[in-house]
Amino acid sequence: MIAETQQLANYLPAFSSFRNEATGRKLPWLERLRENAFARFCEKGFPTTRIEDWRFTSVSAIAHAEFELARDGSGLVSNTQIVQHGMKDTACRLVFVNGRFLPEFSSFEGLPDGLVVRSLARQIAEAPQTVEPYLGRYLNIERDPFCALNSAFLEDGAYIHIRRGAIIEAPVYLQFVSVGNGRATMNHPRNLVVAEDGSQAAVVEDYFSLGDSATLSNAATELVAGDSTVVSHYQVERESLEAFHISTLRIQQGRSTNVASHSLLIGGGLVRNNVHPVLAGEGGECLINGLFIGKGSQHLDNYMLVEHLSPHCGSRQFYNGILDDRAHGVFHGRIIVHKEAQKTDAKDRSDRRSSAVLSPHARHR
Amino acid sequence: MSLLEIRNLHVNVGEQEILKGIDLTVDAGEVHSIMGPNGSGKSTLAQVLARRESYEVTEGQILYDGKDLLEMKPEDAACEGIFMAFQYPVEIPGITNAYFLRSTLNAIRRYRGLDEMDAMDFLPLLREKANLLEIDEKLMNRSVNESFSGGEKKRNEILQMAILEPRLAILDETDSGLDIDALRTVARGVNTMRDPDRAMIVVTHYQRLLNHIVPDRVHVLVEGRIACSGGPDLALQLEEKGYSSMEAVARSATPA
Ligand SMILES: Nc1ncnc2c1ncn2[C@@H]1O[C@H](COP(=O)(O)OP(=O)(O)OP(=O)(O)O)[C@@H](O)[C@H]1O
Ligand SMILES: [Mg+2]
Repeated sequence: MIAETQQLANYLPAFSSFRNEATGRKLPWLERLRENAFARFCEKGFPTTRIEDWRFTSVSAIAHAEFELARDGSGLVSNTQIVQHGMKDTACRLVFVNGRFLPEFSSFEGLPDGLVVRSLARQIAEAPQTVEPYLGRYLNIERDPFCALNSAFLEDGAYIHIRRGAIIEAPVYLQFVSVGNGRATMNHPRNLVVAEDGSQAAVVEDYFSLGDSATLSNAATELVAGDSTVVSHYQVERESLEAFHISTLRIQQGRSTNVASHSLLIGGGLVRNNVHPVLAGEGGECLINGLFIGKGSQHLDNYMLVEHLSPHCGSRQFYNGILDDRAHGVFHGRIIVHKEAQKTDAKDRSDRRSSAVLSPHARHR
Repeated sequence: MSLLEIRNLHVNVGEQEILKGIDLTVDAGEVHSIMGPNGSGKSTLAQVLARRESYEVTEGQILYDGKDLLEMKPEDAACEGIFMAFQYPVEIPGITNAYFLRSTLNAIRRYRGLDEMDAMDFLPLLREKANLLEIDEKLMNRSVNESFSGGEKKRNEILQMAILEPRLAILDETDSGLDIDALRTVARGVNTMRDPDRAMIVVTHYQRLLNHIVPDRVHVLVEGRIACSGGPDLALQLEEKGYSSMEAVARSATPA
């Protein structure tokens, strides 16, 4: 597909200035990753409904908007607002405003042993060798232009490292706040979670808005689950009804892993949530739970792609929705069982009947 | 007399020699742990003990309670009190878990000349054991392991063990994929089964399980041989140093 140059013209100046000042711009591998991703994005353009994976969701509203890249989040929110909207009893809290980490609102008090958390930008600046083996290695920028866009603007987000055998019982809490202040801004948070062998952890990504500007959050998370890890990931999407929200969770599972992805889509005008586990090691298990609750004219699209690469793996999906007014809810996806993955237990138990459609104008497919 | 005596066991899978001379003695009342890297032969050893076919014993012998285990059919081994919790439990579509458990138990009871248990007698037993292992009773009326989660399958294996009360139980990676709470539950289930008349062989990759099920002996299997044996401390050392030091030992023992 040839991208509509007019639409993309927007992104070129943003990318040009971003690449000249972004953290890690002097790292050849990172520069290559960003440039490559931007080239992919330009080549592909925004997806249209003619593309199989996007047939239920038109993103032309995003394609035609002129988003400004949000570069700084400080001064836009108060600590009270953060705390008021936040989750309690967590292992730590990392606050991001418009995709930028704000240390003054974050809390690392009583961080358990074996857990390393900091902003990705800081990790890139201070210890790039720790992220290089993982960043961009798993996310599929060929298939999804939003992932390409995220990788082009990759800079900040959370870096989470769980050491071998560490059991982290309280969740690692990532709070992402979108603040438009009347302007259409975009942010591209990028998170990297590396769970070493035998560890256990839970990560919560919570997205919400202050004010109702038409912001675009285009988030991507790479979760690398080492052998025999138990990892839960929670995606909470509760941005304003004006917001555009695209998120992708790419999970790489080692041997005998037990990973669960739970997503809750409540907010946002146009929302797309992608979950993409790859069961690479033998005996891995992945559970995907999705709940979407729409009202007004919200469009909530859940997409999943499950890949089985090894034998004795299991994957199960449960998606449920409640839709009112003219809201649309979508669940679709694919399970690919590769040749090597004999003895696979893949079950797709999303049940349309279990979605409640409360208004004659609401729709679920 | 020891409950289990393995002498110079050599096992082939196809053309390839997987176990290259295992000697292992387990007494009643003991818990032995077998650790070792992927592909070292842990499951192979476990499967041979459970008399699974497709493994060819080329040399050596196994005495179970003084009898030649290699002469026993898998069903007879089960009736003689050998139980195996599989690394990848199999699904049995169309047969409910409760029915499967009861008929397996009854097969063993028949073999031992005991009366069969009817559903009414069996139910309280099943309930008690399921509660101990925090297994949802709904799983009893579903097909065996069918669409169970990984953790449910593992717990279900331990439930089978609790019901069948074997004399020799072999648990192959029962801890894999379990979160810490489930691990504690499973360990509790296993620990309540420790008994002077019963032996257990626990295969695991991780020392963590052994914090909960403290073994009498730990053996490290590397490339089809027991590279070293020791007390529970050995598992701790392995956790720190990894298997690489053991692998060197095993390699130096390989005949040129
Ligand atoms: N049925 C089989 N067919 C072919 N090769 C087999 C078979 N069973 C085992 N093997 C091979 O035998 C070797 C030992 O396998 P085994 O499963 O016993 O290892 P393991 O120690 O249990 O490993 P893991 O820790 O990965 O479970 C491996 O190289 C494996 O590929
Ligand atoms: Mg094995």
